Amino acid sequence: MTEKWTKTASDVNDSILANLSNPHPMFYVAWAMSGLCVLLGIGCWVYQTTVGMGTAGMNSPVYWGVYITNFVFWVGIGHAGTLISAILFLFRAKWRNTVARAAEAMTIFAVITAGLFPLIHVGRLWLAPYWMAPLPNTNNLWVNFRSPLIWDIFAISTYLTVSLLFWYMGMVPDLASIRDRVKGFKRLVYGLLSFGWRGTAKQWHHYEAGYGFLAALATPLVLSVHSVVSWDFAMSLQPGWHTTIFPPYFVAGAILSGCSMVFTLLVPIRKMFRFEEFITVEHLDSCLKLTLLTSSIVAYAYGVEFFIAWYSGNEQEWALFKSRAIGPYCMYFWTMVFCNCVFPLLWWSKRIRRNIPISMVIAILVNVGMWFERYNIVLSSLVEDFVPGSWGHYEPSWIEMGITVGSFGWFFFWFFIFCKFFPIVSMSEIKLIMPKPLSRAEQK
Amino acid sequence: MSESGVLAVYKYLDEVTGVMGKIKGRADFAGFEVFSPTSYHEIEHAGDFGSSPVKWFTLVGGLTGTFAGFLLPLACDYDWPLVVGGKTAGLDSITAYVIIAFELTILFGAIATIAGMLIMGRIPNPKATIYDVRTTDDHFAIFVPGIDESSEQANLLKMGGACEIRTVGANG
Amino acid sequence: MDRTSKELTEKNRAGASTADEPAVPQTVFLDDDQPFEKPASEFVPGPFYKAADERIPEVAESSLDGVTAGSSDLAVDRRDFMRLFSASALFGASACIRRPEETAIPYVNQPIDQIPGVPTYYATTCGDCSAGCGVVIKTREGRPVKVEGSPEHPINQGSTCATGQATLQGLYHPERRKAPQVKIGERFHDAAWDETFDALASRVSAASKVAIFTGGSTGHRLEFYRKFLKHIGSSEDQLYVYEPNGLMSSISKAHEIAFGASGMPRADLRSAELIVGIGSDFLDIGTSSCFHTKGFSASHSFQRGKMGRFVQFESGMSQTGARSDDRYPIAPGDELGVALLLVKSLLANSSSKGSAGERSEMKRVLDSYKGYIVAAESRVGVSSAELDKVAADLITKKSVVMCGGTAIDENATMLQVAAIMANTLIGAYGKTLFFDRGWMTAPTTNRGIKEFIEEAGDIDLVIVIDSNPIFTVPQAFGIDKVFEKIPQVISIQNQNTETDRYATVRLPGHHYLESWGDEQPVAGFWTVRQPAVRALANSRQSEDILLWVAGAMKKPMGFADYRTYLMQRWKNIHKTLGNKVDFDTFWRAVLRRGFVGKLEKRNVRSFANVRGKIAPSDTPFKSGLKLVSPLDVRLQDGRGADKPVLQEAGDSMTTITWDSWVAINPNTAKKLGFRRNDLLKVEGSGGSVEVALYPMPGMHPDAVYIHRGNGHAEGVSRVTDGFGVNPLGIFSKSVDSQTGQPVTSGQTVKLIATGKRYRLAAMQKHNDIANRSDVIKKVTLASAVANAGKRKNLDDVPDLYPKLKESPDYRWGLSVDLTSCTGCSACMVACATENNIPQVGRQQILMGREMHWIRLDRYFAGDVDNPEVTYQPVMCQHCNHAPCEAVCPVYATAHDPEGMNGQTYNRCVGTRYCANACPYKVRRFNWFTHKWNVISKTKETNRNPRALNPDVTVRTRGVMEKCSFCVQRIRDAKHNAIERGEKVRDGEIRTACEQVCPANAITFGNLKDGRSRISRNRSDNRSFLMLNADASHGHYGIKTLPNVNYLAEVTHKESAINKKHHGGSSKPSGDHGAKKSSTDTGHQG
Repeated sequence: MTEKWTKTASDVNDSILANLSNPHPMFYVAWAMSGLCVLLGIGCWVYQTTVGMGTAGMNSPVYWGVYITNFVFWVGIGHAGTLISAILFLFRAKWRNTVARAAEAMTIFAVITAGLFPLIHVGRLWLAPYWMAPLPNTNNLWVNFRSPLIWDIFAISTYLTVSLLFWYMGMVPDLASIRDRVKGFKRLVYGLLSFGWRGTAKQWHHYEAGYGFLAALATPLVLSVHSVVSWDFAMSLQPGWHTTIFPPYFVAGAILSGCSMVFTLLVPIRKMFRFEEFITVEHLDSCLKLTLLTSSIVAYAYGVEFFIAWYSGNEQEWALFKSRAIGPYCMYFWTMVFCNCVFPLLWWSKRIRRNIPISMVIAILVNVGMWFERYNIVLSSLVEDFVPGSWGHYEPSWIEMGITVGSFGWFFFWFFIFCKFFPIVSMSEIKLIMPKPLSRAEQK
Repeated sequence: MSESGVLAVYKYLDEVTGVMGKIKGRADFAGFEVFSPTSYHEIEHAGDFGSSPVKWFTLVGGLTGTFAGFLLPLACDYDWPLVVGGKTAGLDSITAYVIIAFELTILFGAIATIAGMLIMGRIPNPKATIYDVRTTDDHFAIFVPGIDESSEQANLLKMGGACEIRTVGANG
Repeated sequence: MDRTSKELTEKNRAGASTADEPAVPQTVFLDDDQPFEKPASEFVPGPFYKAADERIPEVAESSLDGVTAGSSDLAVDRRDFMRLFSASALFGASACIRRPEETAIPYVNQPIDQIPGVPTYYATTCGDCSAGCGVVIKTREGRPVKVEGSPEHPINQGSTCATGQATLQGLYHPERRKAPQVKIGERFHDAAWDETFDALASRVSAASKVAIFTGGSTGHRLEFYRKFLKHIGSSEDQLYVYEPNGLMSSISKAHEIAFGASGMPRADLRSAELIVGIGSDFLDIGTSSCFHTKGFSASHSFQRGKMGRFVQFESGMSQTGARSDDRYPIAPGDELGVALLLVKSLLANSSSKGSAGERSEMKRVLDSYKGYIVAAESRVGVSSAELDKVAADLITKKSVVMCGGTAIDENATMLQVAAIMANTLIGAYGKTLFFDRGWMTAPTTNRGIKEFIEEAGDIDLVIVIDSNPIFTVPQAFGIDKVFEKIPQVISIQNQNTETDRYATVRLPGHHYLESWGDEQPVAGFWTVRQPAVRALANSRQSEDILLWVAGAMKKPMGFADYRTYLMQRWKNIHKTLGNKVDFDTFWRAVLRRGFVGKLEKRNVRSFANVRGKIAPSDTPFKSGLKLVSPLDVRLQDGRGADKPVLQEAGDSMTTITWDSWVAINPNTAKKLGFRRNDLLKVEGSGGSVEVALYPMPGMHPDAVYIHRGNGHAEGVSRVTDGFGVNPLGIFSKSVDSQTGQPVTSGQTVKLIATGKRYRLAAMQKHNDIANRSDVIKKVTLASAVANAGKRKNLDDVPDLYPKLKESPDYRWGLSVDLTSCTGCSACMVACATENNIPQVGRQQILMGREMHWIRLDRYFAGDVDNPEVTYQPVMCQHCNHAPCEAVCPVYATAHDPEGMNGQTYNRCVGTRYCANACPYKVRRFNWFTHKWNVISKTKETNRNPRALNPDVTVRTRGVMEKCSFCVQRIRDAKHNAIERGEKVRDGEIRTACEQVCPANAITFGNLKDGRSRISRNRSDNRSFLMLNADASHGHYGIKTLPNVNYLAEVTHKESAINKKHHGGSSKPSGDHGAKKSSTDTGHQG
């Protein structure tokens, strides 16, 4: 893409690293608020752990509820980052360079948040973390590698590790630049953080190679993680869960939620840290295009699900989908349909894509919609399954609500810390897509 | 590398590449280092380093992961073969273990890659010194060890369009 | 001999007195769990202690027998507990001598007659109602842990009802009174027994007119009370017996009128080809539910290509009616009308039986009811053509007519007379009904509540024994005023009652598991009651109290205790039976077997001069909504209400737990504009109550049902506080003039909306089968007969995986016959007691967190006004391809080589994934650390570890649990089999649910044994696997291959569930009700 750069490569460091010194005051307000949410969440969680899982709204037959919804939601959010930085890197999509760093940071914190939920969810927190890992234990039992939950553990932890490496590796040169700007103790810290990166041509050479291979490894990983998560559902027999479309459907949904979250985050960031010149409207625009694409894939998946439910002639399946659409919980279903498939259609118009406030609203709606998609999947299949005599009902308790709010707080809390102390935009990469510093260019 | 030498700082990419082209392969410039703020491909070409050996790290790491990913579940099954959901343990359930194998392939591969990059890039290296802080911002630099500013090699660097030439490393 | 017993005593004393021993009771029990009072007060008071001497020899003997028992035959086999009779004899003796040194557990030095860990079994007679079922009490280390029906006992034939199963919660109830309380001034003061006896003695001797008020019994109890009254110098007539179950007295009375002999005919339903019920509830409670259910399940299940028919006319929707093949909803109070019309058409039918004399007498009776019949004809809504058809069938088939339920109206006795006429005309007497030989004795006398209230004016002192008139008599009778007027009220109760509040002396009585007694359920057939445990609380047996009072009055009756008295009476029985053996042997044999006797014979005259003895009640038939209040199937007259396990088992028609509800026809509800959970004011001439509505399909539009049992006064029990209503408050004062029983049916009421709503804790949210095809299956009798021979192989299913490693000997399976199940929910209670399943209380049930390992699904199908009801007990299906196993991350549930689906509580981390994956939703999660005590409604109740089955782990919070096929019993049996050096025999293992089932619906066994009952059932043509479609047609459904299989219900006409209905009027409103309710609960939660 050909963009008008108002700045040159030499301005990059100065303006990007401005965030280390003086961010917008709004920043501190937001940070404090997220902190409060975290406290609320922790409070609820302590209460639940001491009194019992019963404080959550779950019951028989709805043994999974908001916690698993949040888990899937946050894992989904965690997809955009590595997708943007890895897949788009391989596709050499230039707009990624500006947004990649923030997106990856989002990924890291989202996955960490997601990782909390299985622990919040299990009945015996004090045993689960140990027993669910393939470690020797007094039961003389290993873990069941045939269980989707174990696949989950491997997938999520691998994803977290790789994303973390990828993210950090990309950040090393920038940390070096920070090191070279700051003095004293800070210099020591950033010096350690940057491994003493010197930016010699050889280092850059191996760096490039390694980065490429990491991207190549991360690409299938991104696609696999949410497939594995989807198997948590698809591997059981529950009507509405037991379908083969789940993996692609979940991945698309994940990218959709991820990209819209990236957008939701970038808009305030470029305001707060005055990055308008680097994260340009074009970049946001292309991010929205990707969102629009995945949104239509998701819409297609919804359609196919329904068609197959009817076409398969499986009575439980069809009954379930009917009850999703017109049953007691239909409002969740329609929220999800409108937020994920209908509103994003507005983005077909360039004017709306370029209109930040409106796009912001839509993006947030998509996030809401994606949460309800997961809620809908988890809930409706459990409420009415095979045996009418055991059908039930579910609604979240205030404990679950509190912990959910807390999880958002937790996510933003860490994300803000990142914004304050790390380069939000990858400087070394942005220099690459800016006009090269050539003497001829200078003389002209 | 406390060995002293001359550092020539450049402002422009084309000048650096130009100089690199001239001094490449010359014995009296042996062990010169080029610093750049980001990974300009022009520099890679000028220095033609060939393909990086990092790929071998990745490959080995990945294969180890695959192996481990199959070994772990099968070993556990061997220790106590439990039947779940009508599925007998061990090789019968290998399909399920493909996922574990896949994940570990990625994990080990990634870690090995990073390791490779660090090793090949000789970082972290406590002895390394930063000659000029601007090289991580927007300047380029070439360091030639074992010469002084008055030497004709230094002159050549200057001719290349260096905006600054100075002796470094002797005492820092 | 003397010496031996002394040694025994020495040993025990040594045991108890060594304080430094780690294992003295104090360290085991919580404070209020202390089993015994201080020894001092434990001795039998007064001059009668020497009477114990005559029993010392026996103690010695039996303890010697104990040695042999202890050494050799104590590899206890559940099937022949009798071998342990000596233990029971010794224990029985100890129970009445009360050697203070004995402690229940643990043993410091092991008693010679018990091996710790090996259960001991005592045969006794259930005391929870007057049916007189024989039960076997499994005790471990001296404490009862399980009640099971005595397999040999002819009344219940091994089964028990839900109430009987719950009896341990009564025994261990933490609210049982700890000490006698004497009212001095306005306050009650705890007293020691000795002084209590003196106080009683003085009061009794001060009273000029002493009365005893008690519940029904068929044994020597009542006779003893009479003797006592006589002995202390008041009249025998002042024994008043009130049995809240009005049915028995009316049946007895009717037979007295008709045949001049009291008692109830013994209905042998086993061979009945056609049963016609008119307002009958013989499967709910009736007169002897276990006995009748056993018989019914024999005749009304598909056996040898035959299945009996059951036609029911009823106003409500009872469990009994739910099992009927043809059901005619009739208005409350029309039972008599229908019965008389039936008699009419029977008389009209030339081929009907009955002598000329009888027929003419019946004609005369009908004439005296002419007006009534004419009115009924136009009213009842059952066409005479239909009745004639029924009548014709009755005559041709081997049949019986069962009339009346536990809720009675003014015409109750006449209804029974009509039943007698009908049964005479169809020749049921001698074929299906037995009144001249082995008839059932009525537990009531002719002096009941009516007489008591009339004569109460001049009674100075009344002793109320195990009866709660304040609660069980309609308030309109002013029973509370009556008791207030009586100067001295001595109340001897084994549980807390409202009546205690009107007492001047409250005495803790023995639970029946602690006391001696006997019953004679069938004439000539005696079943004995002996203690299975030493008194847990500081209580006394009511009869002993009377004895000691008499003693303290210096008027000794000559017996040390009631046991002596009993043995003396039994000497007569011994004589009459003419046994060759001497009495002691006989007595010990009785004690170990629990019952004895041969059916008595008598000559009863034919049906004659009835007219004049009985006339139509003067109260005219009123139209409009009429209230009926039968006894609750589990809580009975309210005595079961303080047992959480019964409250939580829930009513099997509505699945409502922990509450009272008013049931009316859904269409009527719609017409009146009421919705489910609306709080209605039910107003009758006697008063009103506020209770929530449950729209019950199949009820007559005029019928309003509120079951009795709940609605105890605040403070009576922590269990019953805060919910439920007592419908008896609505009825006006009115009795059946023949029996004097209070009317609990057929009085008109108004339903007034309060605008408030109240959530009924119904366990089942969705009440119809929702067009699901492979959950329950039904076949018509014709097709069942046609395919009877064909065998199925449900396990012949293609599989990608290699064959599982199976045990060569065992593969456990269970089958449920949907044709037999009567929805009595005894299995749920039995399972809860056997497996230490906690009760969670109303609030948690509302959340949908019941813990039942076996649940009872109840489906309505067909017409709302007259639906077809199906029960389906669902427990863990123990799938061979279990979806739950594959998903557990930690192997907490895995497949067992013997085909079971094992659950490792210790390993479970509570991801609850297994429960999601389970298509049957039979897994239960411990949302909290539930208190496994007798009261779990509130959190802060004290746990009672003694109520637990020591063979089953208790589960902590965060752990998944489910049906284990009673694995502890399997292990036990396998252990014994190994000791015998053979395989487990078929029927040797009986899961708690199978063992208790009065309908023989559940069969457990070894599928590897081709000749086992379970193998036959599984290969039966009716057999199907839930949700597994039909393998024989190559459809495998979800292919979980359970080891639990169901036998399709056999119906006489094509079932409604086989014709799929899509909405419209034909769909039961249960569905809509459920949808609404689920959203309702959503809004209210």
